[in-house]
Parts: sequence; structure tokens; C-alpha cells
Amino acid sequence: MSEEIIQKTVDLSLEDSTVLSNKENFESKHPLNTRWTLWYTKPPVDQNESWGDLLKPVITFSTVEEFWGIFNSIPAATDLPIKSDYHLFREGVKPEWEDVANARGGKWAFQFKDKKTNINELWLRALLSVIGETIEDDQNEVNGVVLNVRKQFFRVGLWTKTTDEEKLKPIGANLKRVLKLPETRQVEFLSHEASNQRGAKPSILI
Amino acid sequence: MAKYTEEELLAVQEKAVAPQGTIIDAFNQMVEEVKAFQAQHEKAHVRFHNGDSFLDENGEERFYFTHRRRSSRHSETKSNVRRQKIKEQLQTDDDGWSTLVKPKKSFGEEAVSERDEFRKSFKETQVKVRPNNKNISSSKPADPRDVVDKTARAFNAFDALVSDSEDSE
Repeated sequence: MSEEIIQKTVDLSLEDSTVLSNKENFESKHPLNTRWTLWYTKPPVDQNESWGDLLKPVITFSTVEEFWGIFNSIPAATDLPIKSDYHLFREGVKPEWEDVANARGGKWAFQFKDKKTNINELWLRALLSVIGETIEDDQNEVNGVVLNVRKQFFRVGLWTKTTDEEKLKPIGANLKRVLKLPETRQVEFLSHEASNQRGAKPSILI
Repeated sequence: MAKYTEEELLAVQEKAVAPQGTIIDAFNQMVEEVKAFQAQHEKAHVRFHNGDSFLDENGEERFYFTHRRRSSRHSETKSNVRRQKIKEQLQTDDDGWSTLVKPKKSFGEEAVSERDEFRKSFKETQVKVRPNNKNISSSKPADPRDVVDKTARAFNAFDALVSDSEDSE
């Protein structure tokens, strides 16, 4: 009887396998601390496209297994077109300065001007440190991480809720370690408010 | 707070769960379309700049565009659209050979015959004049009609010696 029910369910399903037909899926997954949403900024192909048209959420996930499934299916950093951005943010936080969670914060950033840098590896390390929550201790200040793909550089940015230097410094130091930067290179922190001003200089350097 | 180190996360990589195909497929397709557009666009616009670029205050790459408004940049020759192209006419002679002939601009058949007659008559009446080149730089007149009769009396010294008184003696 139960086998009949399973078979009927399989027939109804749009996918090839379901949790009922695939024993492996009964294994417990590795839940993440929060749900994360992957966003993508599409480079403009038409002058009429606004920022709102270009920034789109792609998919949301909540387990490590789902993360790997997505990561393995989307283009690598080096395969993205110029002027593209990947954003990985906590669900409910939009990767914009205007979002309530970001408005009083800023970002740690580093530009890789040498395009021979293995950005695919460094971007993956940044993603893992964010979803694994090892980028911060217990500050709970990180909202998301951004990759900008430009013609002359890649830039990794870590968006935070706050501009509190005391809370930010350990996070900046962690980012520097994750991005495998030598002591001679510095990550820069700039508040979103200051980013609006022309010629604004970073408030913290590590 | 659930935390996973990089090593722990990497260990789970093989247990990846593929997301719903339609979403990711649509996303990948969009990325490919953008890449194709950019490749095409770059080809079309490469002539507007010489490759020199700078980073603006937002870190965006911008090019030094070289298409300033100079008169020399607008000097491309334009075709005269008002000018009508002269169409060649096909003429077949008695032997059956066909040739393309450009029609005369403004002469009709009558005008052509009239013109030819005039040319013929003019040819008959015209006087050929040859310039006498050897006299051009000379003080002598080129045209004999211009010669003025200058039969000046020549001075004869012997005549001058014969005085009137002697004659009377």
C-alpha cells in the first residue's frame, strides 16, 4: 500500500527524484544560521534600464547543501560579464544603502587590481566565511558580501550594519585573512554615508 | 549561533543539492546573453576610443573619448543626392551589335543637326592665321599692313657740299 502511494507521488512530481524516492535526502542537512539570498546586478544593455531593473534576487537558501548546489550551478566570478555584481545577503536585506539594515553601516572592501588573482577561490572563501559565520565572532554585524566584476579589477566588499570601529576591526582583520592579503596590503572601511560624498576617504584601514 | 569552518563546509560539498533547474537555467541564460551583447557592443564601439581609460571616483572605468567636435571630423564626402545619374541607353546598330551610349544632356535631335550644320559652315569660312613667330620679339611689325611708309629722305653729304652760290656761278 505504502509503495503505491510513493509511486503515485513520484508520478505527480515535476522533478526526477523526491525525498520519498531518494533515501539520501532523508539525511539531515546542515542548516545555516540564517537564510541567505543571492542577488545579481545585471550589466545594463539598454539605456532605459534603471538600477531597480538591474538588481535582481536569484535564489534563497538555508542549508550548506543548497549553497553548494547553487554555487556549482552558477557562473564563476571570472565567467561573469564586466559590470556584474554578485551579492549574498541575509534574507530580507536588500543590497542597497537605503535598506534599513544597511543605512547606518558601511563596508570593508578590497580591490584586486591584478586580474590574474585567483578571484574564484577568494570569492568562495569569502562566501564560506559569511554563511559559516566565521567572518565575525559574536558581533552579528555582517549583512552580506558583494563581488564587483569590473574591466580592470575585482572588488570584494563586506557590508556591515554598523560603523562602530571597535566592532568592525576584528571583522576587517578576518576579511584580510580570508582574502589571503599580506601585511603590506590594507582593507578599507567606508561608511555608506561617506560613500555618497566625492573623494571620501576610508575611516578605518587594516 | 551555528558556525561552520571553511573545512567543514568544504567537506559537505559533495552532498550538494541541485536547485530547481528553471531558476538557475534562466539565470545562466541571462548571463550568457549579456556576455554576447557586450562582446558585440565592444566591437561596434571600439573606434570611439583609443583604449586609454581612467577610474572615476566610484572606481568605474571610463574612457577618454576622442570624438570631439572638430570640423575635420565632418568632412566626409557626401554623395550629391540632387544629381541625377545619367542612364546609359542601349543602342543596336544595323549589324545587331548593341552598345550602351550616354544620351546627350540637353540637345534634341533637331538641335544636334543644327549644331552640326553650324560647325560645318564655320569650318568652311574660317581663315587660318599663322602667327609669324620670328617677328614677335622684333621691332618689325608682324602684319605688313601696319608698315607705315617711312621713306625718309636720306642725307647725302655730297649733295650738301654743293652750295647754291656755286650753282649760280
